[in-house]
Amino acid sequence: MTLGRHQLRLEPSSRRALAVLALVGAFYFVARGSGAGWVVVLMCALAATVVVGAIWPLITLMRARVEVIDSPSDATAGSSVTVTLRVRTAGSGVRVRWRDAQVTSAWVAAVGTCEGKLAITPRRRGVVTRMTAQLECAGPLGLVAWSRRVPSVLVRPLEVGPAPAVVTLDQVAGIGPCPAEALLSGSTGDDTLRGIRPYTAGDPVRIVHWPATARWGEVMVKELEDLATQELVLVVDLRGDRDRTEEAASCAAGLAGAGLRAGLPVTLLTAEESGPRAGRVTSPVHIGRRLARAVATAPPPEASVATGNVIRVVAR
Amino acid sequence: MSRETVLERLKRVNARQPAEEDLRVRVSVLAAALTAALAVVQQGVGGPGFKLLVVAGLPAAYWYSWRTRHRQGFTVKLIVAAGAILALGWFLHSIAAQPDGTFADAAVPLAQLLLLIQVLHGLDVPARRDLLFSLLSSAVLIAVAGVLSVSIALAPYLLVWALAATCALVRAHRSELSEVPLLPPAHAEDLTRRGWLRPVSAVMALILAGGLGLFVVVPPAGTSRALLFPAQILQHLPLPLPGELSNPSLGSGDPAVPGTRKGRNATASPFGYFGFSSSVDLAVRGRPNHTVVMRVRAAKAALWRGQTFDVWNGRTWTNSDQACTVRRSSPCTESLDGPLPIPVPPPTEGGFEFTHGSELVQTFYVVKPGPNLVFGAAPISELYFPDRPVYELPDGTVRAGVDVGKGTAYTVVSRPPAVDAAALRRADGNFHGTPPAIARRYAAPPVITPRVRDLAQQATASATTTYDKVIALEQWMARNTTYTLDIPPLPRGADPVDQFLFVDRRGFCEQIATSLAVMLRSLGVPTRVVAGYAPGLRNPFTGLFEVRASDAHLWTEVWFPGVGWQSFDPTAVVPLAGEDTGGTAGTGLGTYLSAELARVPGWLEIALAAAAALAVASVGALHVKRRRAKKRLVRPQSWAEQCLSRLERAGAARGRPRNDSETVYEYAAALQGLTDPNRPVDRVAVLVSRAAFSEEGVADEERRWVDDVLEGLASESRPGTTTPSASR
Repeated sequence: MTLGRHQLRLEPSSRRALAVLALVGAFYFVARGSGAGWVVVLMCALAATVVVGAIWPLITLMRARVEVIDSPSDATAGSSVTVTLRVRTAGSGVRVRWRDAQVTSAWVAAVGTCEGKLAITPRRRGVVTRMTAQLECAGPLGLVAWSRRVPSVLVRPLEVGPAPAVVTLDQVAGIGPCPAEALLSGSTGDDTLRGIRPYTAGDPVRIVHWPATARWGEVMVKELEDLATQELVLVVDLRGDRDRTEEAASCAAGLAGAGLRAGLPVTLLTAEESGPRAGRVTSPVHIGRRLARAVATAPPPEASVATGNVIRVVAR
Repeated sequence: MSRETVLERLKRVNARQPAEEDLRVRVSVLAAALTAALAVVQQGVGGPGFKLLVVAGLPAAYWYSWRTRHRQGFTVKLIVAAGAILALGWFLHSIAAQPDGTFADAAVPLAQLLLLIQVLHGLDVPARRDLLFSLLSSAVLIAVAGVLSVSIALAPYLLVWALAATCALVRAHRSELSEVPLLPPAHAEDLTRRGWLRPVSAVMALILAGGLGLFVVVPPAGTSRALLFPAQILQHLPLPLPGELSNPSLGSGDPAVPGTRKGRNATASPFGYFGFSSSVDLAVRGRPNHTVVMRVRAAKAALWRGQTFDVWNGRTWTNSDQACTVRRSSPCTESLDGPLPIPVPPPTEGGFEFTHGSELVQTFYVVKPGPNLVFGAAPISELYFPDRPVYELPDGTVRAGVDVGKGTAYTVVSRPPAVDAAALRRADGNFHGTPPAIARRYAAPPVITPRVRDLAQQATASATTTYDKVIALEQWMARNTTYTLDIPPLPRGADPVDQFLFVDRRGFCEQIATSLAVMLRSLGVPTRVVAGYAPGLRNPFTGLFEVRASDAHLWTEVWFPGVGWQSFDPTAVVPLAGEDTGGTAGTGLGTYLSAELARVPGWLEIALAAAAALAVASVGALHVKRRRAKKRLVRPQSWAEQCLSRLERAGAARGRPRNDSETVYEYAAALQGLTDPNRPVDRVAVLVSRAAFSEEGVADEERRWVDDVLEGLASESRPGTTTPSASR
């Protein structure tokens, strides 16, 4: 049952009240048959108990307030983050949880004015500016339970990036699980090797060329192309069906992260609500934010051939 | 996905639930169950052994259940099931032993069965659901006590039960709520909101108010055919003469008994009424006190008729059939079977077809020993009396063959004819008129003074029907006389009716009813007077009329052709049987309470008023305290504000408090020179300002870093504390 603009719903746990009401009905017939005035008194008391048990939580819910007083800026779909919420209730305790299309959480209880942290889990990528809390109250008697959905505006937008797919740059060009394809400059594997030279102090360990070291008997390192010119450009085209969109975003996050881990400058080309956007990302959080804002309703900007290794991630 | 079978569903629903760990829930439920059980045994259910079993068994069972709440409890379930079957068998055996038993006879064994089941169930209440079920069954028990109770003495039990049940519900809900993590209170005072006494008291107040509201609108109990016809006698004292009138409450003053009887009180009780005798002498002044003599369970008020008087000798009323009863001769009817139907006299033949009105079941619970008259609204159609035989007189009244002592209960079913004023006005046109026997006995010219006769004729000069004559005379008396119990003694040789109507103009029911009867007889209207009880004040809680000795009453019955005898009470207005009186369960609540309060002793009145004033003052003081505490509350600080406060405290500890004119950046720059250079206070200021004023906000990682820096600053300012420097 849903009541009025407050979207109040009667919860199934209200069957306790039905048991009491059944007793009230039975007492009515007992009173009629026996003439016992005390049974009428008891019947009225029980009926009043049910009425109080139904109206009290209703009023409590209508007066309850939930607000998010602090929340993080970034999150990853499927991974929980903590928000700080304040619940104001008068009358009796309520149970609160976040439950809408974007986020979910477990129940917590609040009595009086409470502040505390609650772990929420974003269901999918996107920018969350408001969440819907589900408040449930049966108190103080626990006979009739009502619930209500209360929208709450976040203090700052929560940018939910996709969960990065586990992918390496070697898996591009249609080999890996990602709907990605390398364009123009080819792949980003050993092609970046220009030559081999002896190790000099300060060279990073990751550029040691082990086969040559073994052959020459001294530590040899790879002489790579200039990192600045080896930019990884990810063109993220999320147009397509919804499942594929999220898969593509997840893949793009994985590829961008792999690029960053490989020490490459990574540029993301995405479409946002405000229009096409091309920009370098410097951290996983940055990647998450960019992909959180990416929309599937417009094409990303075209990549320039000269920019470096271009990988196109498409949601098709 | 396969569908769940019925068996699987049953198993799931009945699966053992987690044990209830909140001891307060158990204690509250036990208190409710124990109170309900005490309320039942207080009604005389069971012997001493049974009472001990219940009163000691319930706490023991709950204690055992608490100790074993984590066990599977299969054996206990078996014991409970076997015990319940045995109790049911015992119950069936008990009621089978009463071959002519009624529902009322089954009430006590049923109450015992429910008590036993409550005790047995108490052995296995590990989970919250079990406890709540136990609470529900205690509600059934308290209702059983309500069915058995006929006095206000149940009220304390009901209040205690309601309090315990409310506590149990509130605690159970709190316990349910605590199954999920509880958010910490924002302020210290919010901790007080987590108490459970406040909601309990608030809920109790609301339930009392709501219950009272419902009570004044719901229909009263017992407006349909009754199921229970209680009849019991505690002490069997047979009378020596069949049909004899006996009234121990009058002692040696009983005119019906020549001399003092052995074993009886020689003096009259203060609740005895001389009218319940073989005669009513209007020169005798007696005033019964306010002792409750009996309680009557009935759907509506009626005059409880005891006996009639037909002969008026100018000072005393007697019954011409009285001698017949004393002589044990016809027409006294001895009935040996019971519960016995006493035939209702058929309506007088004629052109009118008055149907009997709705059935009125009355159960009389005798509180004080009184006359052996069987009271009841006229005419009685069935009687459920615990002793046989009873004796019926030609006037339709009934007498018991035993003394009717305290604790006696009997049920009378009456079917008053459904007549109203219009029907009574039409009765004069009945084809057959008044039967000669009725006219001879009840309409013969009475002993009367001429001016009384003249008054009767003048007052009824404009009345065309018998009914109008009755009403005209009643109205004349209402206008010209006053009701009072304080009247002077009757002068020697004076006519009581003349004295009342022309001299004193004051009197009570005896003078008023006699005057009406005598004046009507002077007009040729068949009339007699009836001694009985006024309905009494209805106790809205028990639903019973509490009849006091002072309700003893004398009124008039008038014969109407085609209708029969119809009661008129010139002392007070009593509705005719065919008139709808309506009413709800709470009807008369105000009257009852004010009457009861009037009986409260003065010292108790003062104490109650003082307690009420103290309660109001306490509530007011608490309210003021709460409001002040609320005012003291400060708005909760945001993270940025908290950080700034911490920064200011750290600076103050270093002897550099923040000036009012300083911005955060300026203050941070000033502090930077006073602190460890590895603690970038200026960066803290940047982040705090961004959190406070920028939409960009601060990332979680940055917040943690700021917290670390501030913690380090605070530690530095505490003597003897060192913390590693924060670094990004």
